[in-house]
Amino acid sequence: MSEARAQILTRLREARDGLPDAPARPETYQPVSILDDESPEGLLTRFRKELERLQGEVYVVADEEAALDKVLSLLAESGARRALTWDWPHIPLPGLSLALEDAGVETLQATPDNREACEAAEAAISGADAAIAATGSLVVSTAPGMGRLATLLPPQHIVLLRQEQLLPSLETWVAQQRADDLSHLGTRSNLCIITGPSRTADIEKNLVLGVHGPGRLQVVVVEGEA
Amino acid sequence: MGLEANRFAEAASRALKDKQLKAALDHNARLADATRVKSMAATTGAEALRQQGRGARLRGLAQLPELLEQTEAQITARGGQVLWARDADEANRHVLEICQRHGLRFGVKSKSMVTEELHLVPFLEEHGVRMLETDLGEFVVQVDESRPSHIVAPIMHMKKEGIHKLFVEKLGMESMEDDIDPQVMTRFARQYLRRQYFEADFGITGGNFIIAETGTIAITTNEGNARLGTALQPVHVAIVGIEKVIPTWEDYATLVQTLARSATGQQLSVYSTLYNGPALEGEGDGPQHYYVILVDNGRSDIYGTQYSEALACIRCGACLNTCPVYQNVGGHAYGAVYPGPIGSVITPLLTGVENATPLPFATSLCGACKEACPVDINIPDMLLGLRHDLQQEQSPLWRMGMQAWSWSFSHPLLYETGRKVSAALSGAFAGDDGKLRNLPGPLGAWTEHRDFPPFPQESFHDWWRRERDGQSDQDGDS
Repeated sequence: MSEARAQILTRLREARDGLPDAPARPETYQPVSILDDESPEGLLTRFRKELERLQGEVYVVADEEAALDKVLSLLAESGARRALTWDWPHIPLPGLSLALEDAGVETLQATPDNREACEAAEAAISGADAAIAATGSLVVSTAPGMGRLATLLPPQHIVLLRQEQLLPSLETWVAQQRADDLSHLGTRSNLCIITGPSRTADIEKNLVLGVHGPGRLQVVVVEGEA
Repeated sequence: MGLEANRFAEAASRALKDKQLKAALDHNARLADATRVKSMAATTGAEALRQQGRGARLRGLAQLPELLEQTEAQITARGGQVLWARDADEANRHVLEICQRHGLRFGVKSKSMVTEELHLVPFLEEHGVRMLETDLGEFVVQVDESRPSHIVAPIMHMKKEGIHKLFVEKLGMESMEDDIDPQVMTRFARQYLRRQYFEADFGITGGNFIIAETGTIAITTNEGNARLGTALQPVHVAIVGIEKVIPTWEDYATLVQTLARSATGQQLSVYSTLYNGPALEGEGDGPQHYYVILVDNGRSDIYGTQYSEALACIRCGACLNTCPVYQNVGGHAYGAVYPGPIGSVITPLLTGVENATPLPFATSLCGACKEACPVDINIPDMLLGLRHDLQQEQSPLWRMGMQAWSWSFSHPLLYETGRKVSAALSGAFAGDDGKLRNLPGPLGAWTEHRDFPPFPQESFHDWWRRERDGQSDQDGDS
């Protein structure tokens, strides 16, 4: 082990007596955002309200067929002909690959060797681990077939979500992970909690969308149980 | 850096005369402060949450050595490499060695205060490694060859006209004449930077938090620049101060939301990215090599002292936005990487109090910073502590002066005489309305930027004697 490491740790251990007392870890944490209604409808309403406030778009559809139609119409609207997608099993919409092919939308998945092709895609389609109603957020984790670039490169990002993936708060999501012994968190190389389209207010506090990530974030929620 | 902080008075004077800066700050800092206040007002149990966040930070500090070891073990187990740096030079050399090992020539960097503190970019560029800032504000600062003036909003000091001019002159953007649109400028920057992202061979980020139990580095951005700058490039180097550690994911859930609310009034920043390690076998993107550099650079000197609490800072910038001094002089006047109230504490502690003597005095001690702080750091108290430390080092003449002052305060007759003489003398310098606008000698420092009110006809002592005597008369009547 390095000399720097040993020296830093020793210095800290020797000096720690002077630290202010830290309060004990709370048994329950107060959530930062409060939800009035945690019913499935309540969660969906809140999620939509929060994400729309950030200029994200939420489309609630009754079934998978309607979800396929919605995805195709969102692509047709923007004129996207090429879509960067996660591997099909990770997008909770069977038949999507065929539907896109029939509609003449070219699809590709990121590999270490096709960066330029990914950059040329006008849209992205992915799933998500979970969604958080209180903040209008999507949790995405990275794994083979569930890449980072689909959530970043194209200007339009379509996310397929099932209603049962909606959780009340970030705290609830963490509690779920805790119940799972953090094994999901610990085995992923990367996670991201995405809350709205990419944005900046650096220039005189003017809100501008789509700085480095997508300017359009469109979430298609399929209602009901899987 | 220290020398510049010692020129605070001069720099602040210049800043106060800068009308452009004044306009930018009036708009930007006050708006940011108002947004935070509004967001906090809408938070249920805001004070309890503040204490919850504070608790998380203080537990992190209390177990710092153990949590750092836990972090290292977790990162190493997932194939990342942890490097330790005692000071700026050691940290910078670690980065350079990584560049040499992998043959890296060009890096994209997301906003990170610790890299500003290390002067990493100039160091790498001197050694032939090109670096590009990707946060829009930091990018503007880099093109402008200037310095960020705020830890969250680096170009808080600039108006859109100035940025427009810069983009037209330095980057060849088409001029928008009189109709300057931030939207168009941002799109221009996106396209310009996107090409660079594809050319870069490594990404550098800072870290907002280290979640010790899984060794996760958490970074928040609104633009997505950090996430993109670590998705396309084969090497990711995260540079993080050792004090950023928090014990658990529950602590993270509290703090990441508190940070967003305090910094920009958002519920969460757009991209709260969490890094665990290099890309796994079979992943189509992400870094092959992942390094975390844990930087001390003066932090262990603060640890365990009366100023330990300053290490709990989560760099939200709320104390800057709300500070009446910052609102008037802006970030550059402080002459340091960390401006504003928390900067006035951290800068003297990190660089040596003798290198930043004016900063503990660059405050009205109004307490707005403590009020705004999402982890309840007692900034005014620490500023007073630093003043006290400095006083111990003052020249004997100054100390004698202060002792004389204190002696006169405890001797009414002497005090009274002094007051009368001052009041009489002040007549010579008073304007028609009795206000003092141009005092001589060292007293002139006061009147350079503000008037001194006229001495009253009747002193408090006289008034009190009159009132008290009147009062006892009345008592006698009843």
